Amino acid sequence: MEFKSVVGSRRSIRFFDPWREVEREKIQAILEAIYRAPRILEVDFLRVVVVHRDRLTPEQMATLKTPTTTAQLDMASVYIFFYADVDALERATSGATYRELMAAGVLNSSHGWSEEFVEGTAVPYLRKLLDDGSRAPMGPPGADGTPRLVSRETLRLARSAIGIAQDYAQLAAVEQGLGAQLSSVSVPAAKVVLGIPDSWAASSPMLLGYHGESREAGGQRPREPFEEDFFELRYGNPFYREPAVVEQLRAAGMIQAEAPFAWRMDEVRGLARKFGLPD
Amino acid sequence: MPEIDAGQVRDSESVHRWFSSRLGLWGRGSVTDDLVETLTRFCQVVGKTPDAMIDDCLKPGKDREVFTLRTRARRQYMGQIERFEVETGSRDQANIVRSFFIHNGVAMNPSILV
Amino acid sequence: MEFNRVIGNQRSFQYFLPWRPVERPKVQVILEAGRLASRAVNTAFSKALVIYRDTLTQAERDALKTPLSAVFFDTAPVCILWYNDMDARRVAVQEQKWPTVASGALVEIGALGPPHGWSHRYVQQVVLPEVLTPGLDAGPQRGGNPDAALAMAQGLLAAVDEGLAVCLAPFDEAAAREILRVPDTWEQVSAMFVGYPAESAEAAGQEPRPPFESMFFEQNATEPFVPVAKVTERLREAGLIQRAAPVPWREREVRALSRMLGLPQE
Repeated sequence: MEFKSVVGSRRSIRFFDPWREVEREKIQAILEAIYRAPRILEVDFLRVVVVHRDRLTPEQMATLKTPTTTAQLDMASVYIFFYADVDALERATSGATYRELMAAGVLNSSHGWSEEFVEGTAVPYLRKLLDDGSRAPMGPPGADGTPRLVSRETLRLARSAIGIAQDYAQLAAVEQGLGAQLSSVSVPAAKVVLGIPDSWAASSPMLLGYHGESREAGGQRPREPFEEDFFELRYGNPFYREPAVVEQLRAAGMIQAEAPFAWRMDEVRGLARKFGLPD
Repeated sequence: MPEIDAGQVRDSESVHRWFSSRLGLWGRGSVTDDLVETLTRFCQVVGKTPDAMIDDCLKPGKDREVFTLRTRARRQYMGQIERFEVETGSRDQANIVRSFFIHNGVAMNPSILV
Repeated sequence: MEFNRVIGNQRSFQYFLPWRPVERPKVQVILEAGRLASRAVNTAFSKALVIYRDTLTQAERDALKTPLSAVFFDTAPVCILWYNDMDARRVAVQEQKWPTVASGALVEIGALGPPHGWSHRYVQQVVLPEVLTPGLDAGPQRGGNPDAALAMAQGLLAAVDEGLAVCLAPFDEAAAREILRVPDTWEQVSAMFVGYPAESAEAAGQEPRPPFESMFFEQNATEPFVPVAKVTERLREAGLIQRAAPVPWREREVRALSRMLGLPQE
């Protein structure tokens, strides 16, 4: 699929056909895309756990569910959990990744890279982020009742790593003809069910499956005006949104018809009947 | 305890709110007689009026415009709805009761029918 | 460009053509792509500021640099500073100007609804006060960071789709606040340097990564997800998997580029 069409076709899908398994090949293709996502500061934060719904016990499923995600978890065949191993930043202070990238010709002396730069500049830069005095809890309390505290900078970088991976995952899912949605589950329950280490910071899992609703899902979700989000030269100076570019993107399939479609509410009621859900 | 009848159910504030919300989302034809009939049966089973059931689940704040979800009460009602579904043999009837709670701000989801 | 090839073509480009401007429509496409990214409660966590090397003084560029981004500020014609707006949740909840979960828009358009347990009353009288409002008075809200990074990633891929070179590196936040008047409520995600590549489209080659099985797991956090060779082959044919770094000519290329751009040579 053309990239712009992939972007334009992405929706938060909330109805999946539960009887359709997602082929392992498609899951791997999504993971291979995530694998090639850029790394913030070249730190290997990312950890991903693929969970097949039908391999969970009913008891495990029950613990994962929240009152407004029960049906979605029932419908999606696969859940992809994203985590960031916060200890990756400490490991990165060995400088090994930078050395590997230097050997690969990615980081070069033209940009100042050398063994001295790694030891004397890059690693201390990472160390400063790690040791930043402003601390924040990285998740719910552990077994001892207290949450682990890490530097705010560590958490910021870790969360960014997850966000990048989540985007790659969603787009790759669309490319594979699948529906996806970043959803919510019980984080403490997921930790237990999946055996997540204490150093892994959690985020929203991606539910994955074949569409149970129309691919358009009622239309592209509305957004605030473009000029509210994007600025040029200085903050407060909006980036002018050229209509001709918008038209080109519409023609390329990146900008699609906005929600709500006239028939969306009828579709939702029909989907409620399809899956035995209330309306 | 006085029997709960359909007229009483129909006149409840929470039922008016339910109907108004359904009409707002689904439009004309979304409020039908079976809604009151089914909810009345459920109220008779649990021995509570519609307003009382919602009050059980939503604790009002000082200004009564915001509410805290009483999760234990919600869980109990979800269990009672599941039992109602088994006793009536009808997912549709249970979903009518769920719809009543949902449109009144008590979020809940059953497992899907496959 | 076909999606798999966009993924495969993405590199951490290091060498830009400083004299070749990036057409404004292409910059807009990057932003438009970011704008369409998924985001929690449909809230506008992601913000971006586009700056141009040639409109900054050398002193300003120097102030924005960090040790890991110095050369890029001097060579990339465009830099997009991506941020997490830590005030976005407050604006969504208290001002309700834009279509978000807080404004009830998502129930209205049939994105969230009774089949999943949602209703207007649930949003307005339970979610808003119980979930979205608490903590707003406690100061900057940092939870939107993944969503802001997600938008940035989508913009980055759009840049690749436009045939541009792109690279992420950190910038000096305090300098950006002072020079570019960035609000205190915006938290850095990353600078994205954009331009036409001076190096070949392959750059150094696809960058090394830790072993696949060390990152991807199945059903629990200890069982590796075992990739299948035929899928890898298919993705190679589709352009997602490309030649690994270093490409054979890399050293010579780097020397030549360093001369061309007046950069230090070994």
